[in-house]
Amino acid sequence: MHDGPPIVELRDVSKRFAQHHDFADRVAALMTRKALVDAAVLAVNDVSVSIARGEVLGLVGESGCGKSTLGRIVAGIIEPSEGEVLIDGTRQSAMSSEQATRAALDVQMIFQDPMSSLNPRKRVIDIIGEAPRVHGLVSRAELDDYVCMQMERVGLDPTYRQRLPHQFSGGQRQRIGIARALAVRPRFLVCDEAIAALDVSIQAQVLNLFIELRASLDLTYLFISHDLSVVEHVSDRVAIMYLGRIVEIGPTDAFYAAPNHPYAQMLLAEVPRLGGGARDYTPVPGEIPSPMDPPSGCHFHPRCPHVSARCRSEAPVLKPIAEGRMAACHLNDQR
Amino acid sequence: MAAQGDHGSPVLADQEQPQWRQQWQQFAESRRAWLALWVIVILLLAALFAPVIAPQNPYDLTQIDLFDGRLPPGSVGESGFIYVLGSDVQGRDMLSAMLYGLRNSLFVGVLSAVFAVGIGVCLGLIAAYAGGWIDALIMRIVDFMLGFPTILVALVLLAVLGQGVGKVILALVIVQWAYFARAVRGIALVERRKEYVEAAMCLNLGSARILFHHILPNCMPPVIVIGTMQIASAISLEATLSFLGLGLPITEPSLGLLIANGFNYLMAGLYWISVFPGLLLLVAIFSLNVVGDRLRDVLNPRLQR
Amino acid sequence: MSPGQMPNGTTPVDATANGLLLQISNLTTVFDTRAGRVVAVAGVDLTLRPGEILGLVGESGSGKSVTGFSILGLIDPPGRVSGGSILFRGRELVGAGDVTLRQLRGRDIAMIFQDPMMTLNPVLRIDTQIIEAVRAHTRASKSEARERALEVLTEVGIPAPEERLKCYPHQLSGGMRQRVAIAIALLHRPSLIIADEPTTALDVTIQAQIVHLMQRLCRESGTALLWITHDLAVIDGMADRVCVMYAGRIVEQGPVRDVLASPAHPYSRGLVDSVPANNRRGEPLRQIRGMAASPLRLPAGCAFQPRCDHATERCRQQPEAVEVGPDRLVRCFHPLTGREVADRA
Repeated sequence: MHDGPPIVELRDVSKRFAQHHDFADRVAALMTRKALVDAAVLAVNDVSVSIARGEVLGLVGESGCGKSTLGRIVAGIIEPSEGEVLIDGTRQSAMSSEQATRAALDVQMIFQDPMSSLNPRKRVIDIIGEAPRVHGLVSRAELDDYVCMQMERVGLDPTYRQRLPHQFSGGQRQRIGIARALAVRPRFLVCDEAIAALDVSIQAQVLNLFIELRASLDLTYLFISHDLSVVEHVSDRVAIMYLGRIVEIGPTDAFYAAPNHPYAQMLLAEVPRLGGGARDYTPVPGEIPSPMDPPSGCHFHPRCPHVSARCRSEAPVLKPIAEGRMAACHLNDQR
Repeated sequence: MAAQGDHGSPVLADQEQPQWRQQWQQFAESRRAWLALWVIVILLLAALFAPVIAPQNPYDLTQIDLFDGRLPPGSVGESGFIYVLGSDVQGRDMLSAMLYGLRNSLFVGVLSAVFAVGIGVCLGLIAAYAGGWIDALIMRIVDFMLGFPTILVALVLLAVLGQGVGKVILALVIVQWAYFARAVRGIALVERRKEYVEAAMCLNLGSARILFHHILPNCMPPVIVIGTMQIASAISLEATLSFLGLGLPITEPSLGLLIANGFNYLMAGLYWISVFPGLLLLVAIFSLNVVGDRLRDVLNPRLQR
Repeated sequence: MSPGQMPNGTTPVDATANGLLLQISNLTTVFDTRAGRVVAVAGVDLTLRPGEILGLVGESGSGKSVTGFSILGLIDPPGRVSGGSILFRGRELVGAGDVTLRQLRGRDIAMIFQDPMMTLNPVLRIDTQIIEAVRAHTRASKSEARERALEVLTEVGIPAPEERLKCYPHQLSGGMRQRVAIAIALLHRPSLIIADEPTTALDVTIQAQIVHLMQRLCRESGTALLWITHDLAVIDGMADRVCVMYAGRIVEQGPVRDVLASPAHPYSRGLVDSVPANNRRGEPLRQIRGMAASPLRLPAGCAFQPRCDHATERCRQQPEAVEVGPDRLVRCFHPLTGREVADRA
């Protein structure tokens, strides 16, 4: 790993999705004498995390936990409601417009759905070549060669560059998406469930491509996934999210050896594993609460086997529990 | 139940033919649509070359013989001219009058639909992409426009503006753009949420480029379908206005005006003056709708096998 | 309401002479598409004993779902079952009339889909739907049917079932909806449940609950389960036997423990080897090269041969299924033997 400021740092970042009421809603509310309730979802709740140059941070959570929103904040697709995102230790507001463009291109994203993440009406050469041309990274004359090079790097046959996305298989489409991101020479990739929609035998191929590219291009990853075994394989550090908050973060080895947070323990126990054989466990009951109306205190308390009165009223904060490890659980205070 | 079960179809991954070609083949599979398309092409050509192919210029008074008025179809006039579809009260050849009328009807219909589509597409896209108060403002104007009966607004507009080809087109555009704006906004909202738009944002491509190079091309198939249907409805709306006496000026009559002119003589047994232009109008609108329907089937991926 | 009590049912005896609940032989299902004929299922043989849990594993396009739909006669044009036989309790389902199949569906054979909304009607309340489903196959009064509805909802672990009955499907979470779909499938105590990727759309913790639930219910009631999935790991925890499908054929079948511990077909071996847990962390995974063969242009002979490291000239012919161990069949000329899967690094 490298020294210097973290490549990406989030400081107290929150994202609130609010449903706005327009004039008609207000009139309707007046006439029916119902109070307007501002429905808001706190998709990301006060998250601070920094990612060092060259590392892979795995971000794990179930649906509605805000992991995709967090990834989009890092990638600059969504503006945070509160808090700030620092690239190389610099605030966006402190950058010149050229710096800001470069910073935006430095962080690219790989999406989940290999079909909808490619514009169905563009040919591969335009999908990959558009951004480098618009940003002046290559001249028009060099563009064709440049696109061929990008395609070769991700294992695609460049002779297919005039084809449309629907003429490719799922794995190939995902490779096109990776080539598109790499074409603007990023230093950081946000992979949002990037292999989840692929077939089992193709998942390994694409995962291998990520591992290769990391080494050859010196990339840093935020690897978002619901699949703990995939995250274990690629990550240096792991962060677990539950309903908008990071509940545990730490080095992969230490985390998988002994997860600290009860939710992390539960996740690890319930991941189906090959070679686990027939298991006779009783899964933890309960549903993931709606993010619209999260439980008070620690969001996990209704499902937690170790719940106490304090958990219901007071939200635990992330505290160091060991070298490089943090967890947000009141149980750690008693030890 | 698709052949391939869950995640997308490897069957499609192998097709060599370009998409438009498959769609064209699929379109041509319906003989009705195929026929309707030919009818439209013939009507368009007839309208375009009306001055060349019409036996008579019905508005050149030197060519019209008042004594040849009210002749039934197939009659031979004083000068030996054969009135294939009869003549009207002033002695105009109905076939020629209809060709010129078709020319005017199609011109007004197509042009007004094109302008309405252009305005509607721009506003709909902007509303969908910008969101917030811009969206709210545009959509409230659209609601306002759609709140009034089309024909009433058109009548009032023409009463204020006065007659003329340009004014009729203006009136038709004003009453029709709102449909497009609303339809395009809906389509664009769906496209905007797709990941390829997020990818374009991540690549810092700029709003205008994302809007017009990425979202718009993906909105086109449904826009083409609605556009085809709108040409048909613009033609019939114009015909209605002309029939009511507020459409095109008498010097440039459309099919609607021809129908209106003959209407008074219908009871007197001079059926051809009204009925033939009426049939032509019917065929034109019917064909456009059939083609539009088929386009919708072909271009809508959800209906595809 | 055991099958024996059915007023107008088939034979109350659960199994035929050979003790099999379901016997599929040489099942072939084709789709005549615009682009040509797709043989989605190309001669599948499989058997299911009463109470057995069978995992049918394959990637998209392997024909695993089509096999499931074929059993229920749910293949819509342009597809059709073009050959083979499906014996359910000794009774032929291929070519059986719509009426027969409709009577079987929901009563003797139930289906659970990946998307529970395939089963649930979005505009009807849960109680309406369950009561309807109860009364479709039995003569029960409304209140009896309601009792039964409450009973099954409790059985599938839905908290406060009284309240849930009054809900519309959209008011429930994905996991709850799948539970309701399972409850409906269980209503008539079917002897076979076909589950098509029922947990794929669910979160890890909810998936664990559903898998556990299905396993327990089938064991308790003696219901046989055909669990169609792409996820080997899910199968490992729950199934008795597994069938691995590739390009419309079953390439390997046998007891789940044996197949996953020492896969004999190069394809199943590749799948097992590529699982991250079977590889050293941070290093490239062992992967299967190439991509799934297009069903429109299947290679001659063994469909896996272009991706296979062990392929020889001989593989250009179609291999027959050969027995490589107790209850184990492999469709390969060069089955892998002996070697255990590499130990977890």
